[in-house]
Amino acid sequence: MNYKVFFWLFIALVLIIVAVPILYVGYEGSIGRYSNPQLSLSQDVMRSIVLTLVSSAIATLIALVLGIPVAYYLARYDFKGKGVVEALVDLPASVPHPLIGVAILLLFSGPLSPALPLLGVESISYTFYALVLALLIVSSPIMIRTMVNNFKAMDPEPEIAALSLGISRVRVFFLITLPMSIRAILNSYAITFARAVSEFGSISIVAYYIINPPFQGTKQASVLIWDLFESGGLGRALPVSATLLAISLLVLVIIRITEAKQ
Amino acid sequence: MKRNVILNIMVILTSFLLGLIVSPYILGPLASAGTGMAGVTTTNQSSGTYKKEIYILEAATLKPMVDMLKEIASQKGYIVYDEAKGSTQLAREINDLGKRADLFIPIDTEVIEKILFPSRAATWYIVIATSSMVLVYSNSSEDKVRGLLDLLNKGELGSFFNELLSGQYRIGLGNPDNVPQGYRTIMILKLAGLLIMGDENHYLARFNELIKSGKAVYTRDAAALVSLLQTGQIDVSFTYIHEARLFNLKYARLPDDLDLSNPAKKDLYARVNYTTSQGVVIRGNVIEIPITIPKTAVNREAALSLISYLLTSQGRELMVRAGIIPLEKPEIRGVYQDLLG
Repeated sequence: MNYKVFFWLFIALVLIIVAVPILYVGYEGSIGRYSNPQLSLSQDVMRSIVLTLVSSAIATLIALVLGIPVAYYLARYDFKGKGVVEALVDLPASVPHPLIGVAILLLFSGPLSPALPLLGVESISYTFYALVLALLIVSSPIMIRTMVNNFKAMDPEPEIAALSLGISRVRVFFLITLPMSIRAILNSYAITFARAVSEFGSISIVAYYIINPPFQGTKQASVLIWDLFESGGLGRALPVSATLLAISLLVLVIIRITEAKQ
Repeated sequence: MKRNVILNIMVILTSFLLGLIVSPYILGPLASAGTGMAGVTTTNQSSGTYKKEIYILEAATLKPMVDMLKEIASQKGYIVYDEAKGSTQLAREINDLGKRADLFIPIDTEVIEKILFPSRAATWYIVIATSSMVLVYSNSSEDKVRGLLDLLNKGELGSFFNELLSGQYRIGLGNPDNVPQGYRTIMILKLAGLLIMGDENHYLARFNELIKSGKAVYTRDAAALVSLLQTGQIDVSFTYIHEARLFNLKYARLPDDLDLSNPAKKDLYARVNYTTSQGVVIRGNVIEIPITIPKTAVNREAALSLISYLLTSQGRELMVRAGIIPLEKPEIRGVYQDLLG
């Protein structure tokens, strides 16, 4: 058997299992039985999608800024307690996400409550900050794990050469390692962003909807879709799911194309 | 060597995945055959287990009652699986997704009548119990709400609602479009407006202003509401007395003109209603906890046996222990001839 045929059999199988159910939802909600263009493109849905994309993009960006140095250090150096740090970094990926929502509420009603006036809010729940924080916590492990793998796979020679010339490790990180990792960063951004967009458990507790302008009264897309399912069944949930699916796909394709161009 | 290992792993994975895909086609007919024979002669293991399995879907606040029922069921030899969520969500899963439910116990009859009846996913239900709405608050908000509680205890309802809606207290309620506790809160506000000010929208208008300013907030479900209350994100909420007991929340009783518990005040409650964003009108009524066997039930025999148990004196005691009030005379509604299948 031609080796390409062999591997394409696997690709086909995985696509059938992973992508077909989701694409079927997209089909049913866009041109299938549950098509409802008026609902798919309604103002509420658009506001929800903008909120979802903006909050996910910000959370992913913060995850990158904070996580890349962490990932680099974990990949390049051994230190006492490294296993513990790695386990703690991975922790949010292994706990039920509603728990993360509850943790945020607990922290900001206790030890972190003095921070609320600085943020200009009375309580953390239902704020844009809570939404971004929840997304940041749930998506960070994915970002750090993918970047650790990238740094481990990267050829260390250019860094070693630069260090031997007396350039400091921090400058090497910014001048050599990061520019060499642009493609991996974009890849990591895409995966982390996709995770943030799909989050439901934590935000349904901590930011069911947003009470501050400009997103006042707006729900994040996954919460909106679930709400529509509860209040109106598949007829209301699937058209909106199809829109979110199309836009998420578009954003991911744009990120992938940018990544390929690097 | 390495290539061989990878190839072997891939062959194993492929076999596993193919097995997963093909198994329903092989096991499905076998299971159906077992089902068909189970009640007649077969004694084989799979059909025996199948006959003993029972799936209960219940409103999250009724979980303690179902947990007690599970113990009784296991004594009868049944294996009980249950799922506690929002009533509306469960009804949608039964109606729209065909989810198996041998017994369905929501917190409101409207959920069955508005979602399951139209598609005939259920055709009858029995009202087995009632509950009442109370004002709940947390340990952290106890000091803050003391004055409010005094007004309520003195029966100064006008002052109580003026104070409650003054903007000093953060109020939470389930999304009234999806959560019965939510629309019942709206009904309490409407009843208060009607009885105290002669205008059902008097307090509701103020409440809507609080929603706009973020002083009152909707939650997705009861669990989220309790999380917000216990972490001090909200100060007060109206909810069921059995839920308050379930989560060890402090509560104050409301007069029965407002607490939706007294069957004698049915006509008063019916003077208010809530219209969802879908245009569905939910009428004010006594809190009635129904039980039904939906069309997606597989083990009707076991389900009927558990319903029968709930209607006995032991079943009524079980409901009391779970914090709900069993009805003296349970009432069957809908196409009751379907009850026996």
